[in-house]
Amino acid sequence: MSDQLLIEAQQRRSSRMQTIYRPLILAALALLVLVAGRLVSESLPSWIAVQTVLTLTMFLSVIAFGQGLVMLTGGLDLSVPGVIALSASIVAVWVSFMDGSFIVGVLLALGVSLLFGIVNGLLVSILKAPAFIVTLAMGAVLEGFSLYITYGRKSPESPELLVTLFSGSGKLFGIAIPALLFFVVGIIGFIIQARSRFGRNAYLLGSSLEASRIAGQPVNFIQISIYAVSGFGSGIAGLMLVGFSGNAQLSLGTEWLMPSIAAVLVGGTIIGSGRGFWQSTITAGLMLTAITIVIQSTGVSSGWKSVLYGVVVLVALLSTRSDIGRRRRKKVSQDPL
Amino acid sequence: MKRNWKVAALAVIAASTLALSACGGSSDTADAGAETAAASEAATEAGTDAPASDNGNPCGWAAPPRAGGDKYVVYMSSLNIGNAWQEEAVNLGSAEALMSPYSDCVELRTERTEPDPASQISQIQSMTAAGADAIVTFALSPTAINATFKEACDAGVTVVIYDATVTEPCAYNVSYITAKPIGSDIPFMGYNAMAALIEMMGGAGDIFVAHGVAGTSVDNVHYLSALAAIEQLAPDMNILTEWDGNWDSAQQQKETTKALASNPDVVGIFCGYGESGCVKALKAANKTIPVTGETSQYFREQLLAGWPGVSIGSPPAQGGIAMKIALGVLEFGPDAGIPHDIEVPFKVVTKDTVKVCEEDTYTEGCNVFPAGVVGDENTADIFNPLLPESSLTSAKTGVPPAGLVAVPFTVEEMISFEQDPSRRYITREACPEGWTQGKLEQGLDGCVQS
Repeated sequence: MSDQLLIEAQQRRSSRMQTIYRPLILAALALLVLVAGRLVSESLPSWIAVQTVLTLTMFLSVIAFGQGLVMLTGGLDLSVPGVIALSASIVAVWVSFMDGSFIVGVLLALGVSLLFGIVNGLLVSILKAPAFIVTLAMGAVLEGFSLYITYGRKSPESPELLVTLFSGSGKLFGIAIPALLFFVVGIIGFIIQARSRFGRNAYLLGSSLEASRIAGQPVNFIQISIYAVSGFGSGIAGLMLVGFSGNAQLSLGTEWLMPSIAAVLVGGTIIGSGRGFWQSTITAGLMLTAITIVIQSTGVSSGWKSVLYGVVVLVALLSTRSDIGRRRRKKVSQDPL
Repeated sequence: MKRNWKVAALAVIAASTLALSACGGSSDTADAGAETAAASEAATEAGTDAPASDNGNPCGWAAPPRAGGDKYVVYMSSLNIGNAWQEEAVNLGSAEALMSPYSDCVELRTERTEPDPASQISQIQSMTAAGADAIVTFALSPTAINATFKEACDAGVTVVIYDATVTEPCAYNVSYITAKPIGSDIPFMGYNAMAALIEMMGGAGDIFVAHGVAGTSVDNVHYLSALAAIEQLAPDMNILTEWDGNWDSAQQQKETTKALASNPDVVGIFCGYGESGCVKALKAANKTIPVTGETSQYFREQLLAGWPGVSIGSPPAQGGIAMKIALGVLEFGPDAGIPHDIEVPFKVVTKDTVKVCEEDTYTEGCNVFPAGVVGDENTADIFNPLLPESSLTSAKTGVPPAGLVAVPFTVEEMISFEQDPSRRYITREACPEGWTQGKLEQGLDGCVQS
């Protein structure tokens, strides 16, 4: 009996560690990194740097939301750059070449992104195909589509409204809009992941497919909806990034895939375990972005910067995670994915 | 009179057969074939001679077509990466072959290469097998495709590479990489861009430097020559930070945004290709400082609006010029003394020299299109003194507007475009006979007379 109480107390402590302390520590580290940046650049820390970190992490978070859910359930969504390119191309081509209305263009882009997310989910859940191959192939298909719809034309321009919202030129209370949106994205993500039925179902499915099935959950439906959410999120990111850079292009999403995975992992999500928290993912995103900015400000050559960044991510991964370097006592789940 | 009628009838039949065969061969050339057919039909009606033959060859060129036939098979190939520059270059090359007088002598086939060397290798092999007389292509690697190019040369194919160069000696390199910009006595884009940046900054201040795709030979040439300019012209200038821009405006924008966060006091950016990203990041940060960039429409429009910058870069006109060189080699033969190393001059454009191109065709000195005519990433450097027959229609569609005729090079002209032997090492990794490897003034390994 007392053993039971002890275990419960331990679990509570460990869960508080996960949901409250870890994100706080990561956010504090992000700030600390910017302050320590003083050592390499006299202009750090600064309000501009904070705003830049928030802006870049906002884009990262939108992608990392779906990516995190997919990873919770043991998958990996490599179609992110493809969906971003396609969504960006659709809205830009629709508005700047076909003179279509902005709203329709946005709905079209998001609808197509959602659709391909669902296709990913169908292939993974019904056909039991390995997620990373399915999404890798889907990414190639989508980049092909983007190439096709922008092909031979002038590179399509972003609708003005998206530029104002996401390029940093638009400001609210003197703060760049994307920096403010970081908090909006954070709150929405938290509500979906921690407070909605969909979020709870995703966690249950991630921790054990079998348990989920025995509990009478519509397992396939949940899995498909997870991939659908990831596709939808990448679609939103596509709209944001086309506004950020002003033109739709194939490479729009390539630079965001790996950072999104890194943020999820450094945030403590364990692949296929149903363990991982949104607040940790986005604060890990803040920290990693702050680190890239400080590395950027060092005068070392670009090759060394890559080396440095790689090493930092590895160190961050090893030091923020309790599951690595320690043999797990319990098998978490026998997940066929 | 009767005989004339017969000749005309024959020509019409021949032309329609050609058009049909073109349709069967490749959908890309269907329109082109039809155009050519129409053109030769018109020519016959006007009473001029169909492909003449002093020596029995089509158009009287040096050797008969490899595949037999009555036209030379010429391939124009570009990289399929959805890039406006590549489109313009391949379209200008295609349009060249479809202009009179070449249209009577050449069967054009256009292809696109996927961006991996393996697919380019198999593509070049099938072009060679399909009876190509000449292949004009963008090469994915300076060395990886050499063996395949050698096979093609050995089979009698004229291989012409534009923009990026290859080290295989039998291939013709047509490139701006080691050239002097128009109006400058010093070679290298990187050197000239940095020199202009230093001048705009008043000779002092600290800068950011962006690489292209780091580790590529082209990026090295730009980067090292830019460093040499700093050393010679402004030794006190510091590089605050460097990044890999990957010749990609989205990447450039992200990196510039990050760099500005930690070094807001920067006074100049050596940006290179993807410069619209650098400028957009600066605009978001409300900073107007000198930027070097390549030739995008967006950047030139910014210069037009008064942005302090220098626009200098690889001209897509190289596609058309490379085609003219290939056709020149077919016309005069490989032994006519046409150099294998051709330099294409390029423009330096600042806010003081930026000038709108009002016409569809070449106008001396113009270097930006009116707003809205082309996309942000297109470039007005489809116009080049070596390609006066260029036009916006050609660059957009790959088909020349009616009435525009090619201006073929003479052998003497082509000889005059030859690369200076001192810069040969940069593109060929070897020096010509009588020269040995040595350092150039612009900080690069080159050749010196021994």
